[in-house]
Amino acid sequence: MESIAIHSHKGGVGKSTIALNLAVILSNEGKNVCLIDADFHAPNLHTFFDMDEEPNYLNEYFDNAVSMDSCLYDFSEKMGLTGKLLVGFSDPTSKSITRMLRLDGRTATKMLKRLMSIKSVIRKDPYNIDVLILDTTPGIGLTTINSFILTENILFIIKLSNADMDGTTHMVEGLLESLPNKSMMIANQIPPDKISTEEKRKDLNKLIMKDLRERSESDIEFLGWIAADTELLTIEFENAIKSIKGEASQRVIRTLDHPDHPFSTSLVDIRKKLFDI
Amino acid sequence: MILYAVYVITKDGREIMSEIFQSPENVPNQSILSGLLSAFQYMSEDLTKREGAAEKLSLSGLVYHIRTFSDFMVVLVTDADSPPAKVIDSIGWRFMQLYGEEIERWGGNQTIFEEFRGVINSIVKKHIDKSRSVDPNKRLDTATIYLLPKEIQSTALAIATLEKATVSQVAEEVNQELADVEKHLITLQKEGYIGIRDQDGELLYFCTASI
Repeated sequence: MESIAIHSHKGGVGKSTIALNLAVILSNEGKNVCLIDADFHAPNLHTFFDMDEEPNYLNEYFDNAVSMDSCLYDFSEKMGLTGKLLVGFSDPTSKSITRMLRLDGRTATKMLKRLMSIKSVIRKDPYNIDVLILDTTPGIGLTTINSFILTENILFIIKLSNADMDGTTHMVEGLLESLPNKSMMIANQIPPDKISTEEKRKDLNKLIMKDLRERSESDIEFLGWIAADTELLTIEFENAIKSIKGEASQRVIRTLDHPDHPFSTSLVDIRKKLFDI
Repeated sequence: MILYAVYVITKDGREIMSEIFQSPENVPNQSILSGLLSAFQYMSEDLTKREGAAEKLSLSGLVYHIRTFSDFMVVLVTDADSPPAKVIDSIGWRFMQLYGEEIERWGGNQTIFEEFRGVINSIVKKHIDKSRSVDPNKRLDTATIYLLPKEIQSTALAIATLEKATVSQVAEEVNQELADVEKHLITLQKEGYIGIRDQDGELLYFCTASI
């Protein structure tokens, strides 16, 4: 089983969107995927899914209140996917988030052991999961370290702004000194005209690899670019308004709804570079 | 449960004997500990007007389970909050059976109880680190695992989650070569993070479940 943590230095760089869409791509290839919302400070994976009732959250499993089985939901049939897509949600209520912000070492270790138990169980029958994806808490904290310890690969998502680039490289350097994980990086939300041709992308690739090598001694691989999806911003805005008005709305999953969209095709290219499976 | 030490002490605070199953660096001064536990018991009895009132004392994640048997007390130091009733009773009753009369007129010669070490060891063997190098202050928590050498992190996480396992069980969990995993486990054991015990002829590595 492959495992990967999808991580960013800051929030709002499209981490959860990429984690989910990557899971959909893999599942559509026939792989069995387990996607865990490990962003315990600001969980949002649940907003992509239409649930009839409030799910059992992983937080309840950490507290021994529910079984592991009962907090993993299979959306493959509902979403028409070839392989399994099991999703574990994190509790988005303010009470739970406050608790997570005050997390102590003891509770973090209990969470780590519980997440490890999930990892251990899902690779076997009846789950037979091929890829475990963790959508992490941005920045560095105990829950993030848990995600890194638990996975073999880390995919860092950056927006190409000075602050994010600087913060990310500092974070990567500090982290990777202590971790055995294979580390990769992609840039998201790039102005489309800046990466519209192969030549432009190659030039930017060279530039960013040179910068990464200069800033950090760590062996991090740059996998590619994803253009800003302005159309998606409009759809998300309109959905939010619908939701405020109490109307039915659901977030768009690009790779499912528009597999030919540049976002989807870019992510398919990136997926090919991620794992050999 | 991990058992770190057994103390048998007189009610007036003299050490009769002790058997330690942990790294020697953290073993407290036995005379001071005996005095302290005895004083604690006296104070508890005075407050509650009940004999053997103090049943446990928690200090830095270690739990001192206390049981009074007539003229002496048995103290078990463990990582678990729940009382190890069967073990403490077995030690206490066996000691009373063998030395009940001597202890009434005991003059301080500890050597007469030497044979009792074997009795203690046979009673507690399922709960101790046979290498006696496990350190109660060292626990495989998130921060500790993160700061361990890269190559042993996954083994450390696996044994922390499994709590007790053979080398092959850990190797299966981390999907690594048996020899490599064994090397990692030995490193963790030498560093005091985990203990080792025989179970039905198999070598079992274990760590505290109390995190």
